[in-house]
Amino acid sequence: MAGVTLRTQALNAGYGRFHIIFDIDLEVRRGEILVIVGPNGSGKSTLLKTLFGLTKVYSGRVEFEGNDITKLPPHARARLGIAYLPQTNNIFAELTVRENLKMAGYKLRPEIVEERTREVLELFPFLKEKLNSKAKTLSGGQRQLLAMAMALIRRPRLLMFDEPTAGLAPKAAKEVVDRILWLRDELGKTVIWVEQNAKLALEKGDSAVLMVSGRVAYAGPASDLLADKDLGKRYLGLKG
Amino acid sequence: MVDWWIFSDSFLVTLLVYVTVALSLNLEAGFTGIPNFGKHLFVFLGAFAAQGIGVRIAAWVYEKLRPEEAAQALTDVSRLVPGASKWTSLVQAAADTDANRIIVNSYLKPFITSNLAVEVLLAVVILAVTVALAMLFGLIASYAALRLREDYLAILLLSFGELMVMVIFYQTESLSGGNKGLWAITFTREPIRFALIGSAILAVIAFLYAERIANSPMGRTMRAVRDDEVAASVFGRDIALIRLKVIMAASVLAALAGFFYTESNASATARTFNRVIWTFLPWAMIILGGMANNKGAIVGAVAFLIGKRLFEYYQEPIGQALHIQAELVGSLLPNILIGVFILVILYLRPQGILPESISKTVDFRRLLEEEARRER
Amino acid sequence: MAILPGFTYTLNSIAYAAAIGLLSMGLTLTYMTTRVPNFAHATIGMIGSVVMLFLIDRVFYDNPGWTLFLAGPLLGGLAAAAFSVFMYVAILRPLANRGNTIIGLMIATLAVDIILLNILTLILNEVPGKNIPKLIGAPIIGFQPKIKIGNWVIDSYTIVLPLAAAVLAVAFHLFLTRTSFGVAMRATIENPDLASAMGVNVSLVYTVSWAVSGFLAGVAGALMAFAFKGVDPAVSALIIVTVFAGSIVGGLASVYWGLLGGFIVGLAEKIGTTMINNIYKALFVAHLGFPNISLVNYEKVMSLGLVVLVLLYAPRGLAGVDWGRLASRLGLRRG
Ligand SMILES: Nc1ncnc2c1ncn2[C@@H]1O[C@H](COP(=O)(O)OP(=O)(O)OP(=O)(O)O)[C@@H](O)[C@H]1O
Ligand SMILES: [Mg+2]
Repeated sequence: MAGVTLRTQALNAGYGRFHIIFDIDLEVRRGEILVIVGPNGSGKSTLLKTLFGLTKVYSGRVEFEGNDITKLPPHARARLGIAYLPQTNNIFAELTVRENLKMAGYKLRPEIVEERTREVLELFPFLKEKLNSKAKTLSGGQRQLLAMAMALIRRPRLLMFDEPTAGLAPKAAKEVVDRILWLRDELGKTVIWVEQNAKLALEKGDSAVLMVSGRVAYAGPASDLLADKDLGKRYLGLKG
Repeated sequence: MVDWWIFSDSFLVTLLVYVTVALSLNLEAGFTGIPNFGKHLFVFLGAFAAQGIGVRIAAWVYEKLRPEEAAQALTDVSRLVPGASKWTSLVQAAADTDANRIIVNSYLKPFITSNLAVEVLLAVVILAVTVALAMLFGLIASYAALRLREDYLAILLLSFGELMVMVIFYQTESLSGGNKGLWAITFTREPIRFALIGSAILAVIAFLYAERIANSPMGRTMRAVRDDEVAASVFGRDIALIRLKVIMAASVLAALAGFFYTESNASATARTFNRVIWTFLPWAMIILGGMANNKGAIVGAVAFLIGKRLFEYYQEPIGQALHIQAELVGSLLPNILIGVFILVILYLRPQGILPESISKTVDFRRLLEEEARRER
Repeated sequence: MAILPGFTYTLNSIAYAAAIGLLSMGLTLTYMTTRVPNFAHATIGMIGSVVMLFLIDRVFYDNPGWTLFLAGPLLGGLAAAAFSVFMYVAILRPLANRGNTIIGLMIATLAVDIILLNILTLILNEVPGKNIPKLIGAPIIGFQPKIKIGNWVIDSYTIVLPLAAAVLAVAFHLFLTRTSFGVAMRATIENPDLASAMGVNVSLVYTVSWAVSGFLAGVAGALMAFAFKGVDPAVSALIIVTVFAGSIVGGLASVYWGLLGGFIVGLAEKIGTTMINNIYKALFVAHLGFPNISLVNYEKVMSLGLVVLVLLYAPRGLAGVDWGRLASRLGLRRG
């Protein structure tokens, strides 16, 4: 049985006075993909931000690889091996691709950054031709992949994606999803994946969490949630 | 012991005038979130109405009602003031920096005070001019205020104020006497009393108006809007109207204050209406009193003016103690202290910038959130 | 009747425009990083003027040479940078951390402006000069090396100032693109949250931006000192209007456009107004009987007029204009 990468216990968090998520208990095992689904405004993004230390935690606990990280600031979590890819603004549009990669390794030694940049460019060959273009000239899908490449430069063990396929054409979305699967299968990374397209994500993911009104309405294997007609119809728009 | 003269009539007028300006700034900045950094222009408009425009109107009336006397006056002045043959009319001469003092003091004042009907009419007309000028410039300011973000707006209002006062009025002798200034039309045989009563009435009106705004539903909406963009977008159209109304009212109040201030001094120079004492000082007052708090603005005005006055009074001993020329003590040190003071208040009471009691306002974000949730 | 201004006047105007450009560039930089319009910026530049004045009085009085033109801007720039950093670290940052709104911070910069202006004035009034009897209002135009080209004698500051602006702009560009801290600064400007997630010390980036901004202002102020009839910090009260105008025309979103915006506004204020004045005199005064006043006194109208035009037609400033599309629309380029 693989170890637990991340676990929360009775987590309550929000923005200032606005309490958004309530009593969240969840668990991600090493090397698996945890899918988080739920209606709009149910607190999926807030949960992800909370895991990265970007919201106010009122009570509860977050553990990463057995260590309590509830009180750590975002950059400390990044150093521990967590990468967070927000829904938007996850790259520097005004910087060139090369500069983006450089920023990704800002705290690392230059030789290391250079070496890992070379590795990453092998994994994402399309970036090679774009190295000196501004990132805002990339397509939506390419931007998501650049964000992924930037995250990989820091060699995280856990990657958290917030709706990586939002607004992408089907072909680009498929490429991004394939990459997420590849992260798990080829690189052995652990992934938390927030997704609007519930059917797609539940088919690909290992376990799943359904968020409704800031609470966990389901936690368990992804396939079971996909099969649960009642929950699926009520909250996810899945056909019965 | 502090001599009582420091609390003279003219000091009282200054106090009441500042109370009005602080209340009017509070309307804009405290309630509506309009960072008026060009307040000095609006205060100066009242001064301009009293001198540059006032003397012209008075001279014109004089020429119409007493043509022979006016012609005589023109001849007299032309003899007294060298190089004066350039004036073709008394109106022109009255606003000329060389002839202005003699014409105003020796001819226009006796004429005005000798005829009650003329005096009342003139006062009404000049007050109307003050209001009209204030509304004109208020309209310009609100054009910007309805379109720009607060930082751009602050920059623009400051720039506009500086441009009008320190460039247009200061550089143009024919408007308000340029750097020499002009004597103003004053009323009654005791102009200070007139100014005192006028500024007192004005301050009371300003206070009542500001209180009414503050406690009206409109005032509460405005505060919610000032603090919250969500609420702002919901009330978009009403807000534009309210902002327009508030800017207009505040501009008129400030200009009238400038008018009575000039009445008590009997003259005005554009240069002295600088942004330190007529924009920054009123800001200091409302920040000290707690923004959006009318009584606080009054307390702030009183505290600052008494402090400043005492400082000027003791400038000699302070100067000796610090080895600084006395006149620098009076002119530079208070500014430094006011600046430091503001920074300290901003540090100690950052919410002093929005401190009004929560109970009176509605928590709009909450409301909107709940509404949105119910809709889902 | 000549419409164009004379040669010396043109040189002076270009130097003035370059100084405004440097000031607008720094103002734009701190606005981009910390989002505060700094109303004390022009007065911070005056620190450079005061340093220059003291250097002349204490060190270079007998042999002002080219070293003065190196030492003055350098030391003036450093002094202004030090004050600028102090202002950010000791005043604005604590105020922002205490929860002050943008209006509160703008007032704070106004307060700093007034404090600094009065302190500089006090110093120039009270500190006795060693060689110059009264420092406040002392003209120092004579203390610069003269450049002679044939019959022309040129004030060397008019050459050095645009040169300094060009060198500093290139140096800053290299810093922003070639050093990793510079890249981090651009990244922080665009998205401070993401930058901090990458491990950038955002607070340090902000502090450095204030240092750079102060340095640019100090250099401009040191060299501008030669343009004044006499050094008096009070001139900053009106200079700030032009600096803001330049920054808004530039768009407050790019340091290069800030520099250019300041330069354009500065030139328009001087050369533009003079040309309009010449036309006014030649046509309206001479032939149409308009009052014979000097429009040059109203040069600030030009700056504010440009601001109004830009806000009406290009609200995001010159930086926000799509130049490529504009060029093709005007038929300058096939598009
Ligand atoms: N910065 C914020 N301050 C206050 N409330 C916020 C903030 N951000 C989000 N919220 C509120 O938190 C709730 C949950 O938002 P969240 O973005 O986490 O939902 P979500 O599940 O990610 O929705 P979506 O599917 O639309 O992305 C919403 O009611 C939202 O209005
Ligand atoms: Mg979301």
